[in-house]
Amino acid sequence: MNQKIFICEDSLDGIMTALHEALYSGIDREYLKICIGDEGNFTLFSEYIYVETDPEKAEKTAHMLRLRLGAEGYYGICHAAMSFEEDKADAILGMVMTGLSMKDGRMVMDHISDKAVGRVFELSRTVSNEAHHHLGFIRFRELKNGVLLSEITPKNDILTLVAPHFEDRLGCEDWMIYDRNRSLFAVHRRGSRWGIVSGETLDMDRAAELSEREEEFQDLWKRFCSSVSIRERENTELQQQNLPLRFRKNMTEFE
Amino acid sequence: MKIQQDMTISEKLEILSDAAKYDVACTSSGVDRKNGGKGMGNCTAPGICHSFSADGRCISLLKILFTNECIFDCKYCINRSSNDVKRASFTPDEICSLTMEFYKRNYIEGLFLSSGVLYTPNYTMELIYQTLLKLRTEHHFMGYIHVKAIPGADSGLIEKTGFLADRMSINLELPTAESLRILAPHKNRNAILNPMRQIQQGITASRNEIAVFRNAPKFVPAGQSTQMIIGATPESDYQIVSVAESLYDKFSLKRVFYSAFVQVNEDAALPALPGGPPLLREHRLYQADWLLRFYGFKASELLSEERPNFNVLFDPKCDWALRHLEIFPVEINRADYYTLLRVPGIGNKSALRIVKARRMAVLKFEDLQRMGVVLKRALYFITCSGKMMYQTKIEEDYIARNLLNVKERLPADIAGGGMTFRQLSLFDDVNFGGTINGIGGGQI
Ligand code: SF4
Repeated sequence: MNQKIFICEDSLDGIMTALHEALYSGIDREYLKICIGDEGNFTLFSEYIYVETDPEKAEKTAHMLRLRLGAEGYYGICHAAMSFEEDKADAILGMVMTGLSMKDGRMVMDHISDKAVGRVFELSRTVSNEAHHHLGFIRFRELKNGVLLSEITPKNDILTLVAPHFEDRLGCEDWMIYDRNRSLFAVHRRGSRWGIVSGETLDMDRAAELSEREEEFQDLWKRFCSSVSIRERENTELQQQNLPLRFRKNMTEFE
Repeated sequence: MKIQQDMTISEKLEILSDAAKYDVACTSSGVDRKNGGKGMGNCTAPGICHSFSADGRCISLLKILFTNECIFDCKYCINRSSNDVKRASFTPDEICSLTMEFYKRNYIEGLFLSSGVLYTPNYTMELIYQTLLKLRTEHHFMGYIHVKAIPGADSGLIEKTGFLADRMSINLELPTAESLRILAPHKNRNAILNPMRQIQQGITASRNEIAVFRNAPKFVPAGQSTQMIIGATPESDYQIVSVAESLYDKFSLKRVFYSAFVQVNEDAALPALPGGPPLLREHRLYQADWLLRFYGFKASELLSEERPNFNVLFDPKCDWALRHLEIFPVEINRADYYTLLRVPGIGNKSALRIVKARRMAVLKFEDLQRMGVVLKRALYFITCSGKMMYQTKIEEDYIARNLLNVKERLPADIAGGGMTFRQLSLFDDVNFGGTINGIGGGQI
């Protein structure tokens, strides 16, 4: 039998729609595959099906998965879907099929010895770790108009994972987190809910207009970071192990 | 004593953060608090690291002294009254402004406020209280606050302050009363243990009240911690670990921190440490502390009067396992959680994963790797379905020799001649990252 390859959009809805199509096709796991975007090398004897993202089908599938795989399984899928790794959609498919074949699918994430489950577990953990790092490493600067602006360049698509934290923490502030890699914004107005804005670019001129005391506080922070270090214990290798260079380009104290 | 007038806030910050840096605790952990729409800030239980300084330690809190003007003369301390150093004091408003502005920019999780003793313990404690009161009530700051209780301050002041703080600590400073007498002549053991007991009782009372009245004010909700200086006095590791154990058992402390002695003063009463601060020793103590808190070990299992100090070559758990080969190898698919925890190379997270995953399928060696088990070390101590991974002898010398070839994941640089120190992850599987917080712990 030929392999069937479902090709979908790189979004949770896209993957959910593709899962819907794949599961209903009735084909065995070994002949099924889901890919994001274009499968680079077309293989002979494979059938390619382009999946149009369908919010309704996506929601139906999500609902079913929440019931059958429980909260843990469902969050595993959502986090893995935010990964930048190319094999994520197919790993999710495998994990879902393993879960659905189990007597109690809500235990699926414990089945780490299953290859696909293990992979989803790994992807989801990497994504959560990156999100967690950003909770600490994100830096805001205060603009003239009072808005707090942060620019980040994460590997994975983590904006929706970090925004709720800042909504609670800085609920009385206007703030914006800009993912430069994906041109996405998480935007929050004081007193209301956060949202994601796409298809816009950052207004560089306004982003450079700082509030009156901004530079003073940046300077105080830099001084603090250097004076709090103990010279007799200096260990930049360890510093780098804990705070990899890729984060530093967006951090005030390393400018 | 040089007291500078008219200092800028920037100069003060430089002096008072520099003076605070020897306090090792910088965690923001232990309390979950949502903001709920008022003021600024919240707290997350595992804590959050915001940066790392050039010594590799986590920066989570704005760690400063209120003042470094001090009437005491502790021999190990840079701020002791007999030293000729630049002195400075903040005002409560300056501290509030720094905290709020840093917090808003997501530089920090909150404030860690300690202090030298200005005029009297009560005078100093009152200033600290006023600062916290302003932060909490005028600025509606809901982020994390760790505050020091000043030894000798009235219990009433300590209590008021405790209702505004998340964590309180009072440093034990040195492991024994005798050492304290020699190196910190103005402090005495009781002036430290009494407030420690008071804070413990306050925490218990507050928990009981909250159980009845949900909105009762919380007293030190993130618990109490303390710190000991390591290597300034002659105590053995066994003495130190036993002190820590009784602090956990009898004073319900959340954390005990260990601070390798850094020689900042010339003093006949202080040891010369040509090799620099005893960082490997400090590291071993953190590992042992971890075993006490999370792995069900007792101090007396790790060390004894006859073997009073940790092995330089092996971490305390490995060392224990090598001395208890009679219980190994253990079967991965059957051994209970606490037995798994005693296997070198298996941490608490991986042990939990094993217990869950083996309900689904019989586990093989390749599965273990994925669960965060460090097979290179565990393989001498485990079987999967009755088989060991390789033909190995269960013999102390043989295993020890092989384990020595597997380099311990020592903090960067402790391994090579340049001894240094690292901040360890709270999770056992360092490879996979996770919350990094506190100082110490780490994979064993
Ligand atoms: S009380 Fe002792 S340890 Fe504390 S600042 Fe004064 S001299 Fe230093």
